[in-house]
Amino acid sequence: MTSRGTPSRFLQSVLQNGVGRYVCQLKRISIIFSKNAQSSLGVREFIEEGVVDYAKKNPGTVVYVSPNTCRIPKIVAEYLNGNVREEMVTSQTSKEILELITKLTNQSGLDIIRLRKPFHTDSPSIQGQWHPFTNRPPSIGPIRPLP
Amino acid sequence: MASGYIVNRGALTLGIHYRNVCRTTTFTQIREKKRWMKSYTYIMEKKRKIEGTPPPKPRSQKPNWDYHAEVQAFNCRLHENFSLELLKTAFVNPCYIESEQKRRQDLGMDSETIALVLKGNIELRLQGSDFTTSFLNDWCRASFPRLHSDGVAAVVAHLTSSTVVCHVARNLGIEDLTMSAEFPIPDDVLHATLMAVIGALLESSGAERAGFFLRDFFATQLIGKDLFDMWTVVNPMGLLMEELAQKNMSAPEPRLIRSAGASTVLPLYFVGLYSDKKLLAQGPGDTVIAAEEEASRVALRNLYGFTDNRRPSDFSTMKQQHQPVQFVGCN
Amino acid sequence: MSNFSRTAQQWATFARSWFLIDAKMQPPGKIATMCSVRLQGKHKPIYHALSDCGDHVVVMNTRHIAFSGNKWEQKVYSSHTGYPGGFKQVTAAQLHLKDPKAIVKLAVYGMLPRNLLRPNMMQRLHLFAEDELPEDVLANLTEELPQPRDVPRTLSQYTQEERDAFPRLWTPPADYKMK
Repeated sequence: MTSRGTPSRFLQSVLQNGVGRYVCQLKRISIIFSKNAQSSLGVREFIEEGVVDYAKKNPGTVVYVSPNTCRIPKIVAEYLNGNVREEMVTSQTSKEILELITKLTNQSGLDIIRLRKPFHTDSPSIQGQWHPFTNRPPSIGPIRPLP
Repeated sequence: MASGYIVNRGALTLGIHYRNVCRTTTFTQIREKKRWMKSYTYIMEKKRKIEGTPPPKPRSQKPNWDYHAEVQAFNCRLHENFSLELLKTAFVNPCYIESEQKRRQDLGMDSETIALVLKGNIELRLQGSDFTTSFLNDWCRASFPRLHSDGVAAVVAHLTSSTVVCHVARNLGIEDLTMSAEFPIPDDVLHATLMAVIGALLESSGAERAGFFLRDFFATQLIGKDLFDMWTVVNPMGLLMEELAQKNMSAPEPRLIRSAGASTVLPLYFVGLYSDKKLLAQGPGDTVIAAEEEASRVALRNLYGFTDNRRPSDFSTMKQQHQPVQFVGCN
Repeated sequence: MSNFSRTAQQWATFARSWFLIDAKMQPPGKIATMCSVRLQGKHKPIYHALSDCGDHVVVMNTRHIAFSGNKWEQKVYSSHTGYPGGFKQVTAAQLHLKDPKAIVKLAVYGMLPRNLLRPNMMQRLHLFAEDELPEDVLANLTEELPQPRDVPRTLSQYTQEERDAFPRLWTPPADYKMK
């Protein structure tokens, strides 16, 4: 598919986050894993080692740990703007999961799609945008061919 | 059991896998193309078409939901010190209490056991909306000291309008926590809930913190907004004349200063406004009248100090005073 | 800074200007370069190849263009009608006698990019053989561009004193016969 056909958006933040105060956009994270499946080994290890530290470090995020009979352990991240992201963590190590969760915490929850431009501003020009009469000497009366 | 064992052994010898469902019947698992699947999915699709998509469920009815932890996390996330009692009260709307009582009565319980100990957020929301209006009014006056009082009122009305407040509320995760009779939550309930949250903050942390909250989440919504998007002025020229008369300046004189393609269907005119032979402002337009109106709007923006290149509002003073409070969300 | 509303700013930025060029005693190639840049919109800071931001150009006095050297006689304009034996070749002088706008038009046409926008850009080129422009074109103009070459003065434009004061290489003898 050409890049024009893919969905795209402009660079933005939720509610001008960071202009006033920074609000962590991850509101809830659920770790769904199996108690005995081989693929959940890393997740179990992470729950033993790292999840309490993570929850202490991020008081603004509610962490749910739910054992479930499933082959594919998942991490479901819910963001303040209502977006939900599911990440599979099959056969990942505890360290990789911590990295993934840290990444999810730092994200804004906006769709991860093509950005049309890597920069954005609400006021594109300080001097004023160009128009055909910018920096043009003034003329008196209508333009006529010289006699 | 014995017969099952024999059947199992027989099955295993035959090479087919049998499983005991109960003592008498056996369920045979066969690997084949599931020919019933097509009609089944077809019927389900038809059912979905007739009934429509199922209504959305509130987050609180889905798995993994701990209301107390959520409220506490809400408190920490915004770096505020809400009293949790008040915050929980702020989320309870009177419509929810009514519907809950009705539901309990319908279940046929007697009125003593079903008595709800919840308090509605009516007082809080009144406090909150009063404080919001007065604070935003003061903030606008301080940030745009030259702005006309009608303009201040229009800006405040825009900031406290349903669209802006609901947009803020939705992006602060208030929708999940709100107790409302209906779901999806109607805009007026969401509006009232956010106002109640502000009221709760005012009660628990005082006016200064509530002011910071409003500044950080409401005043930032002004970024990138044009004055006349919020304030509908039908006759900007009349307003400009009033303003100039107050400053003892002579009335503005419009002059056509530039034009391009005047006899085509895409003309461009620039009209300049002169007062005391000094250029106040110039504005472009597709007709001379539109250009004149635009020029007077530009002059008003310059007069009121609401220009695009104005100094950005200061949102930073709070950071030094503040240290995030550590909480552990219990689960 | 101009604090225009967004719609007005957009209208102003993408409005088309009308330029006037006087081609009197000017080389057609120079005129065509100026035209081609402005017809494509390449003189604008907002230029982008995909946005149609070219301006209008009015060229007057195309009858009085000046070729240098022996181009009037030796420059050949070729065309082919498509029929057998339909190859036509005319010199610049012949073409100019037939159509006084043709030389400037062909020069500009050759300098524009060969894409689907070329006919549209050519429509924005307005050629006039003499210096009389219709009223509706005059009303549109925004700027007159300076001529690339100084217009030389003819002998009849010099006054008698100037002619007398003109430096001479030699003084003709009294019996010298002027050709």
